[in-house]
Amino acid sequence: MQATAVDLSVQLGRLRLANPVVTVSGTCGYGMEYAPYFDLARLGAFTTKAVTPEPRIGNEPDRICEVRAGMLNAIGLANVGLEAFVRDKLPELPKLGCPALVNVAGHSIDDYVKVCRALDPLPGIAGLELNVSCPNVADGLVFGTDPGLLRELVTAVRGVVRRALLIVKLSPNVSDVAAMARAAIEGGAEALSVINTLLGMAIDIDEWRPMLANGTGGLSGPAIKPIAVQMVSRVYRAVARDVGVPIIGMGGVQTWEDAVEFLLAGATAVGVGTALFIDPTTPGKICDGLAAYLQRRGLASVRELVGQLKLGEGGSSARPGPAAG
Amino acid sequence: MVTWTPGVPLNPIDEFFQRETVLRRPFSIGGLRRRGATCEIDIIGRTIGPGTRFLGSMKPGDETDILGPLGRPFIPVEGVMVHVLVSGGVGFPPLLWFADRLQRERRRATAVCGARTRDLLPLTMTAEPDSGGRETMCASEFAASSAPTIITSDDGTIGMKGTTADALTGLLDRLGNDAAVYTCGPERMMRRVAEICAARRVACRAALERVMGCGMGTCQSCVVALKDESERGWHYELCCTHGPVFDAARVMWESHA
Ligand SMILES: Cc1cc2nc3c(=O)[nH]c(=O)nc-3n(C[C@H](O)[C@H](O)[C@H](O)COP(=O)(O)O)c2cc1C
Ligand code: FES
Repeated sequence: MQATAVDLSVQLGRLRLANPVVTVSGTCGYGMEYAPYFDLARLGAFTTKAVTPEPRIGNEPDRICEVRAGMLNAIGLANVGLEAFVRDKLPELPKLGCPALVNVAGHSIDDYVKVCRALDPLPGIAGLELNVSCPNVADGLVFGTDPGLLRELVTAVRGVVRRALLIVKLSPNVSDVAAMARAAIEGGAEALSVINTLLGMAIDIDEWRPMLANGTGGLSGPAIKPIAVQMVSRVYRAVARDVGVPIIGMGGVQTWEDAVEFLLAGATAVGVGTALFIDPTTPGKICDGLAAYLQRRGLASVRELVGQLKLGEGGSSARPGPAAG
Repeated sequence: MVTWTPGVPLNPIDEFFQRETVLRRPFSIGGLRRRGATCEIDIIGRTIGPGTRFLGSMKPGDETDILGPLGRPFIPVEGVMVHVLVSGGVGFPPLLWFADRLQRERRRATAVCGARTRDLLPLTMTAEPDSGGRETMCASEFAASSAPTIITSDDGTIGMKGTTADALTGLLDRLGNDAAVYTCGPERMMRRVAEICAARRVACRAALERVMGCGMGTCQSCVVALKDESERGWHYELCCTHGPVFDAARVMWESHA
């Protein structure tokens, strides 16, 4: 099957991606870690681990724990910090051969502004993704759960970001993700990443203690996929579609079929995270599967799938709240 | 080149991979034999959870997928008379691999292997080990690399009654501390071994075990705290890429012996 017969490229706001498959923050290092296993130039885009103003050593171990169909993590945003990132990691990004998105985190509006102001003018950064949704640091969820604060944060960052695509990554740990999406877009977000991990816990029944030293962690992997698909659909229909803001859909993507679901739900690009730990060649397999699927369906471009989910506007994803029986 | 290899289920297992356990499992390579284009790898483990249960249930001919070798192996310390390999329980595979390397480099090795009781000793005995803690060619796995072995058991049901730390102390006395020590096993045991070595200024390397998400340095889950000169006094390094072998004198042990 010729992968070139169909067009996999997508337009993520001002960014042209060769294909819709993106590796997501915290699951692919800072750059070349997977290079021995996979040609990173085959990615639509790459997202770095979070960068904070100062280095962070992260949480105590154990930091991860496998659960059925997923994993919990409480890494605690362990990262080298802005200065070391610019010195040691940034020069590596052009070697990727695909657009690089840098994930940014902080404790205050000033933290985000500081990192974004420093990174925006530097070459080699195609986009800045604000992580306002990390469940593993004390106040990490605050920006991600309060629409007013989120709008204020994005507005402040918008003021210092001129070159890079400004992406806001939403938390699923809210009652209405569409309200957060709206706030992010009002603040000036050019794209949305949906979703970060869900707050979870696993317990060691011998020790009567949480499995993670941090107590709670973020749930990722196939276990969260239906939630993520629902949230992408909801954000797309309620907010993003009408204002033309593209979505990077993520959460439990492991196969090309998963990717198709996200595209149909309204994602323009699809993020792969936890699946990389098991098989770092997953993105290539998804691209091959997507190309074959499009060909079988007689479609010329992957863009023809985006948001094509058949769903009456009264469907469960148009409104928040329980719909299942 | 090798000590650490997360091995992993894929094929008949797509079902399992997609629905159940999602992550790879780290294993040490116990031995490796090249046969033309193929190669045979020895992986030794105990069933402790769903992943190892799955791997244990595989039949000859079943397909799986291995990522590796990953990380940094044991490297011989130069200028010592004997290389002492101390393992507890199922910690011996990387030392077996290392014993083979030492033999090829014509270096002298002695193994010390401990278990709680006779039935839990995962080695093949060709002769009854010495109950006084002397090394003999009793364990076929290490004898294959010309390494005599001391066996200890907590309850005295096989070899010397006591711990690997007791046996190591006696051995280092006899060697006049002209040795380097390499260890793998329960963290509590490695910590005792490291303390004995530190007190005698004997070099000690330990292969650590951590919960691992990826094995490739991306997930940041496998951190080991190492002492340093900074204000904090320590920093984290990744077990999967910087380890799993570390200078035992630098390790901040997790278990409090
Ligand atoms: C180990 C680990 C570390 C992560 N670190 C970050 C991070 O630094 N910043 C961030 O925005 N998201 C982080 N995430 C969340 C992922 O980017 C992604 O949103 C989530 O895991 C869902 O995708 P998945 O199921 O494909 O992993 C992390 C996830 C994992 C598993
Ligand atoms: S196991 Fe993922 S970084 Fe070491």
